Amino acid sequence: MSELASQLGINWKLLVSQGVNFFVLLAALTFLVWRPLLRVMRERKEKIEEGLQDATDAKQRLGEIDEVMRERTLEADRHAFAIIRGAEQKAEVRATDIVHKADARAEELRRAALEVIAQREREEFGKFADSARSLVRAALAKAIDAEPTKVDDKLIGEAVAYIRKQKAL
Amino acid sequence: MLQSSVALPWFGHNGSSYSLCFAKVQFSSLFTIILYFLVNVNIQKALFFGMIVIFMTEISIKAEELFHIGSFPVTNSFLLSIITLIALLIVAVLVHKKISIIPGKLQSIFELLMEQLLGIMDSVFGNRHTSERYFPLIATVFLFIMISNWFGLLPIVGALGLNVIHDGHHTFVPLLRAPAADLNFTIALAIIAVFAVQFLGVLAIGFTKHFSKYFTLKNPILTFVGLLEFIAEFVKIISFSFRLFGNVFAGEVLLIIIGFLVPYGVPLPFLFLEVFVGFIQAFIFAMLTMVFVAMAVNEESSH
Repeated sequence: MSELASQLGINWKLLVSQGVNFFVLLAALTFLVWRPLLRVMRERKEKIEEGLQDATDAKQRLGEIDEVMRERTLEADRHAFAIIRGAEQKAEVRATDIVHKADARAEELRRAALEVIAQREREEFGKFADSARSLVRAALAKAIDAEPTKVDDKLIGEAVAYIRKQKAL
Repeated sequence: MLQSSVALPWFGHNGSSYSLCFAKVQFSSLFTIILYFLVNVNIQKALFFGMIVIFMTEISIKAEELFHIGSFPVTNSFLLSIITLIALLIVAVLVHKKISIIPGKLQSIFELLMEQLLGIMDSVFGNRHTSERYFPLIATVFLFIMISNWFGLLPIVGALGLNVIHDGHHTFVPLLRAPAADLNFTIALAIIAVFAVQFLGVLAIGFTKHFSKYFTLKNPILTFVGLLEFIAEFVKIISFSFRLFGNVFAGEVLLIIIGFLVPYGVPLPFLFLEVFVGFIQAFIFAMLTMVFVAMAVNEESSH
């Protein structure tokens, strides 16, 4: 066995030395490279995951805000529509009221005008009647060729009544 | 690895036996001439050694000893293993100094490697937390083997060496050798991997539950199977170590032979192949370790 080991160059001192070499390297790499790098990689991964989580949260929050904004816009639209509708209804009522008032006022003015017209007609008719009376008197005086003071007032009154009657017809 | 060689006479050499031997004519590269000139400050010698050097290139299964520190033999593969370790330590320190949440270039490379490896580990362990717990072991195994293999392919490895006279003929002893082309390296890593599997299994599910996989008296068949599995655990050391050693060593032999037959151009695709082999062998070693650890720490697999 030792002969075989000798021929293959196996030497326990070299074996141990190579083992020690390996353990020195293992210790050095573990404490200088592997563990610090694993820690850094873990930290970086956590930061990236945190960033992604934040981005996801922000996206979700943005979605929620969009939803709220959409709802509020719809509500505002509804509210604006209601206001417009109300205003239209009020305007319609007011317009109807104004029209009614205007109609009443117009009717009132028309009646006043008619009354004025009637009043004027009456006045004109009075004047006309007076003129007619004078005319009839003058005509009768001419016809009977008598004294105008002797003309019967009763007859003149009957003539005027007749004319009024004719006028009313 | 094989194009050039240069004698560095101040290095000692205690002599060693070689299993394979190729007579080889090497046309030295400009690198050899310059290096020898720098070392000896003698242009004539430099040209002599650089232009054409005839010597024996030997392929040895075992790593060549360069010198001793007390009774400790320093081999060329151990030397490159130390160089790899130092290089990785320097890189580790550089990475550590510049670690930040926004990665630089070096950190990005490491993070890319880690992400890929962790992705594979997640698919085996089932979750990131468990993957991260066993990641340092698997990643270090992978990185150490891969960088060792790639360092073994550098032009300087095998080119620099000792040109010694052994039994009356010139023998070239490379100063550096791929660590995985030495069984000491692969067996050491295999032992660590196998014992780590057992140790982590015990830590994860407890001593009794872990070893009840191997030692059970429920029925004779299970007892026998358990014993076989226990033996198989230690046989893994052999399979782990010889697979890695065989692949890397065979790659070196292949490159030497190709370089011997056609020195220029042709070895290039084989070098690329060896780069891939260096990666894939490290990956296989790490993946097997990972799967065995996953099986050991998983409570369900103990039933």
